[in-house]
Amino acid sequence: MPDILELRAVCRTFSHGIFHTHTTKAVDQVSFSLERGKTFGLVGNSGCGKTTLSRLITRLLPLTSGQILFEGTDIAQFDRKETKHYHRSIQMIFQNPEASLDPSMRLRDSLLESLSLHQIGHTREERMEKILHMLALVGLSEPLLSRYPHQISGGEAQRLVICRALLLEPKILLLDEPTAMLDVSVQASMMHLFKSLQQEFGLTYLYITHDIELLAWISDTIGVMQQGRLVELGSRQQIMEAPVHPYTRALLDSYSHWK
Amino acid sequence: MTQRKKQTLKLIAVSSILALIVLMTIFAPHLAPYDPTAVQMDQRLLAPCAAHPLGTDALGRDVLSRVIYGGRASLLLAVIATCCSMGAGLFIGILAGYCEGVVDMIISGISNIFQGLPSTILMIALVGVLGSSSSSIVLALVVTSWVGFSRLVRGEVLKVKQELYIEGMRCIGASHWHIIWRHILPNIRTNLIVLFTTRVGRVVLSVAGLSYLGLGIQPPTPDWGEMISGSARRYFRSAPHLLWAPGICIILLTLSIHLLGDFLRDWFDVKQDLVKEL
Amino acid sequence: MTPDITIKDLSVSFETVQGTVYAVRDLSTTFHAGRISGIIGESGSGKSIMGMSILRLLPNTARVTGSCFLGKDELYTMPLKALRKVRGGMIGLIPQNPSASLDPVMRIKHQLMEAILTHRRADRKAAEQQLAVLLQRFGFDDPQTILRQYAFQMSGGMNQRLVSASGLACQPGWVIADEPTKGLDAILRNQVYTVLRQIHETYHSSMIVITHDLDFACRLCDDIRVLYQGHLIEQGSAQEIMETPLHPYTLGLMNAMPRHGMIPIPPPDPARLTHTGCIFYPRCPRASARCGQESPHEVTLKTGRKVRCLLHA
Repeated sequence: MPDILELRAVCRTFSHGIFHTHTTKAVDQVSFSLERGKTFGLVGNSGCGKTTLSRLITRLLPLTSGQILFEGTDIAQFDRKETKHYHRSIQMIFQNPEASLDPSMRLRDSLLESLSLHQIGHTREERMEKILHMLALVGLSEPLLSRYPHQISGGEAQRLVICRALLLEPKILLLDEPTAMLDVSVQASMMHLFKSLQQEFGLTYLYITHDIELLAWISDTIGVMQQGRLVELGSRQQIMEAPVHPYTRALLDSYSHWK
Repeated sequence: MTQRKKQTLKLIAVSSILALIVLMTIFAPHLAPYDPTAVQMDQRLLAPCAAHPLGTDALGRDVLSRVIYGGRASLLLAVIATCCSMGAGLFIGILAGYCEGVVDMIISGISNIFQGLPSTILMIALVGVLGSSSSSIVLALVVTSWVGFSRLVRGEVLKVKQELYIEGMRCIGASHWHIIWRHILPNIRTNLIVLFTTRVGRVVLSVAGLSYLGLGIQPPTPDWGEMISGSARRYFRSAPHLLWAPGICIILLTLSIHLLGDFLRDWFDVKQDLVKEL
Repeated sequence: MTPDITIKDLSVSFETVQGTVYAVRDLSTTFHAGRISGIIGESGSGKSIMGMSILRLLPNTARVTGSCFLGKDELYTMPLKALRKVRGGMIGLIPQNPSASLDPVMRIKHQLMEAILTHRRADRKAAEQQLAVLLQRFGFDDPQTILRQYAFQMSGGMNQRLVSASGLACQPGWVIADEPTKGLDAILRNQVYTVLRQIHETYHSSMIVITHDLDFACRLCDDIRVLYQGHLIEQGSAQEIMETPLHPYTLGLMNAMPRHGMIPIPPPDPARLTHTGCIFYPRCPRASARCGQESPHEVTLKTGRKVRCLLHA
């Protein structure tokens, strides 16, 4: 059985300047694969290209070169129906939960919308039932649904976004700094939620962050990115205990200062 | 809270003036004491009296009745023209903002040209060539004012498009049409409403201006702009009361529309601020 | 000699559609000169509101009661003209978002010169020289090049240093740093730490550091105050707080950090929400029935630490 998601020498360059003469390699020859049901952690400082990478995977940006394989098939070759299936299988959780919800829509409508987009459930009642079930799993209650995004706290918004993503029964969750805007105490409960959801649904996570300490807690494999390149890749233990690349060491050092 | 109350009071005051004028024009047939087009040559240029509270004009028509009827044509034209230009601007603006790239470049180029043209002169020229019928007036107004809408819409679409929730919708595979209709339009709605109100005010003025120049609404249809132009030339000194009533009406109407637009903008802003502080 | 900053019975409230919301309530504390004091709290704890209230930089809709003394001067009732001398002259501010705090279309030089010339009638030549020295202190080896540049040409860390430099241009005795590490990664956070340490050591500035970052506060600060929903719940030296947090909330915060096992603080218990006692009662794992009825007073322990919890009363 092929890996659920595999990146092969993925590159993305941006050109700028008046005549598009300058190019920057935002993502440069990145290859790794996600193992089913496991968490892959991607760490790097701001501007290292990790967010570009997530946009490449969700097809918000086209690749410059390289391949992304989903269950063994190149995602560039998907037809319309397969693309829709792919979009449903891989869900993204952004850093800023409040901004990922349409401010002019009640939360209930936001949830119902994504279900109807993918024709899950036939009647409104059926969909509401699914929503309430999932809502309980992420630790929210029903009265929240009639509010607008600006009326709930950051932690609640992030739980709601996760609920919306899970309703589509995805295989992979792409977590792009999902706790960066949250308080420490809320972050801790979110991390526990991620772990329990992974067990419940057998989800595969791609966890992107600048905080290597979080990865030490949640991920099975860690990749270190620096200036668009994957400079080190290994199991959690290898990276945390015996880092090889000087940049990984610098990252770990900048945390050990605080102990 | 008190500031919000003050705002609300002002809003009520302004919108009731506006509502009064609009109701007056709608129910003109029931309110006007005389037929506004009935010529009575034996009662020319009467000063205000009991039978004719605002006097009569050079053809002996009752000024009060003409004032009551006078807003109809220009308001109707203004609303129709603004709706049309908003429709055109919305379509073009969304096209430019959502597609970006070459489409945006071409559309922006064209709208820059339109914005560079002096609108009053263009309007006069268009009505002059096409003849002054209602449809040509509407056309002239739309041609000169769609740019205002399309530029605003384009900017707003570009801004909203960057938002995470739009990106999120694309991530879950929503169609472009769905994103525009369900997410972009509702989120630029408030700005559109504000722009619409201020634009209606401006178009009312433009219609009045055209009528004053003899290119707008044609006599004998009663119209404030035409009433002013008809009497300003000869009776400015001898019968100034002919100018006051239509003049005050135009000022009140455009002012209240403009103020309403301003208040709407502030009101939406206040709502946003209150939310943020929480 | 730099005077202490003393806050007495400060309450800040906002009128909203839902009624009066208190951001800070009945808060009294003294920031001692010569020390780095940290204010720790999560979002909604009122920490920034409290810090900004010292400089009276709150939105117009805020209702402030209580008093704040810089030495003998009362800041909240001070005439605006005198207050302007305090702002920047006696209390400098390092704002939250350094890149957004610099004018993007103005060269760095003019912005920093402004900071100096607002408070001192020095001639431009002297000010320029002072500026060069200042920038060198902040680790810019070639001040002349930097001064000619614009804010967007520099990295976040450099902007942070520049904003700090402009806050310190008149060598105020006090510095308030508002969330200096918000959204920064580990390496940049280290840089900010170094800059603030440097400022403290070179200028002997007294500091108030407002942050949600426990690690950072414990490492940088001499003493720490913990805020929860506008109330000051614990106060003590950084080492004491770090080693033996007394209030259950402080302990919860510590345990929630990744390296301490990421144990979350439980969410509010709905059954406990309608209570009149301690503000932390709905979430407190160690609450007793008494906590639901009685609001704890601030207790000063023998070691000089202060805590607001019935466990230590």
